[in-house]
Amino acid sequence: MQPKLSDFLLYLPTLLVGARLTILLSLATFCLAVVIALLVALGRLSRFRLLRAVLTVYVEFIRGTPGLVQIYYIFYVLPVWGLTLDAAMAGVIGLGLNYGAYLSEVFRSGIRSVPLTQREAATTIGLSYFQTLRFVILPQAFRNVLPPTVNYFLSLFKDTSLLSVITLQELTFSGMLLISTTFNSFVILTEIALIYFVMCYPIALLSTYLEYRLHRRSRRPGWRVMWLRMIPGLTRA
Amino acid sequence: MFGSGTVVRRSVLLGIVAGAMAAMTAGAQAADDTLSKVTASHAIVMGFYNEPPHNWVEFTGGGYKGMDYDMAAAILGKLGVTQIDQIAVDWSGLIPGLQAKRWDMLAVGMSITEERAKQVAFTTPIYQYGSALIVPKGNPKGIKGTDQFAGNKIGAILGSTDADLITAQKGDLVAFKSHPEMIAGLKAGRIDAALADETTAGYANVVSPEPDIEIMHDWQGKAARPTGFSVRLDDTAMLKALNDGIAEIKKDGTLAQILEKYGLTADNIVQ
Repeated sequence: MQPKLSDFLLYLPTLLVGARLTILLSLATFCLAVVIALLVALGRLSRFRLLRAVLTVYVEFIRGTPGLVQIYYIFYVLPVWGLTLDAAMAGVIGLGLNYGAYLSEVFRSGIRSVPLTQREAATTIGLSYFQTLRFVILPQAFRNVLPPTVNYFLSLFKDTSLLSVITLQELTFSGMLLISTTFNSFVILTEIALIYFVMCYPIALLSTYLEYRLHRRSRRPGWRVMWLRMIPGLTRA
Repeated sequence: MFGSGTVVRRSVLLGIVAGAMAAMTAGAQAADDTLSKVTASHAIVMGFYNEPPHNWVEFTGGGYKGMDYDMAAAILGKLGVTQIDQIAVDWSGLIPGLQAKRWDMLAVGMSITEERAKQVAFTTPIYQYGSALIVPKGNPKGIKGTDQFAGNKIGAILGSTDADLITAQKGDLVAFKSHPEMIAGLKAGRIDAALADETTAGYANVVSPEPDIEIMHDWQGKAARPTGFSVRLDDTAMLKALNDGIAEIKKDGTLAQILEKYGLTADNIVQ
């Protein structure tokens, strides 16, 4: 069977509705994950032994169990114990807790990568804990953690397809539903992959742009540089 | 450095925890009796697995379709339900979602098995289906069932239980990858008969009728699995209401009508 362009167009509206949900879920989940990760990273670097212990258990437990099982558990098992979150809420919390654990390790190493002398200097000029964090540590840590954080965001973006098991009709699930009624798997799977790529690649580019700005070259890179950077391998990362 | 500012941090953490707890408590469900909930709200939520002709959603905006959906709608209509919401889910999520009260009922053409009946309460059997025996118009080889399989070329879908049955009955198995290919093979005379899932065969013939073939729903050696709707194990009032409704649509001919609309026959009804 020869796939036709008209087939692609036929399924596109349905898939785009799914893509919209994919975007919303990823953004909400990422915001939650970043907040969790920052709090956990700071907590694990604090001097409170109990807090450190609790947060370490959280991180290791999440990293040691499959995300799919965690999401399934929140959606299908917690209601039996009387805690019913709606599908979107369960998905965002489940995936947010999951990615929060992974990102917290990225953030922790980012914070630790800022030299001790920076903190000492901040203390010397009388900055408080929060001032030190806000004006000295986090800006420098941010630069270091940007590439791995974008990495995790792209991974999360596609992992929202895990939420199809809890009835959320995001991009992948929309495609699967189409396949089960039309059996046109070749066209639909190709289309899903293309839509994901079209959404993900600009994010990678944005990260390249930010990195460029944050590092040595503080000037905004011209469009010519950015276009060149779109071709992989042409310029040094 | 991470020692000062403890009080502030602790209260922030406490605030987050308290907020989360409040959100969770608010989200928890209270009502338990599905029947009174359904009759009061005139609405119900069902989980479904997208598979024609049992249940599917028309992606061009035609809404819910399917024989099991139609049956459920007919029965629930008698209970005063005017709004049925369906949630699409993978087959493996149907029963867990019912138990977790994500939805209150399943009408998905699920076969009643002992294992499943431990997890959910099945209604009385509604209709049953197995495989259909498909022969060319007029049945030139006179194939009426497994007794005539030996010495004849019988088609089946690769790896299906039909294929196993044909081999076991000493038939000459010809395996096909899809249903349309098998029907084309039958019409071209490459096989003498074919075995196929009854709902698939019946519905395919509704979508594009084939005048040159005969679909036999009743044949010697057929094994059919009865199906039913299901609710949670403790939902006895709802179960009774559904059973009454099922008896009613069996008696007044609605069930036969629905089955025929999707390519099955009144013979599929479990009396």
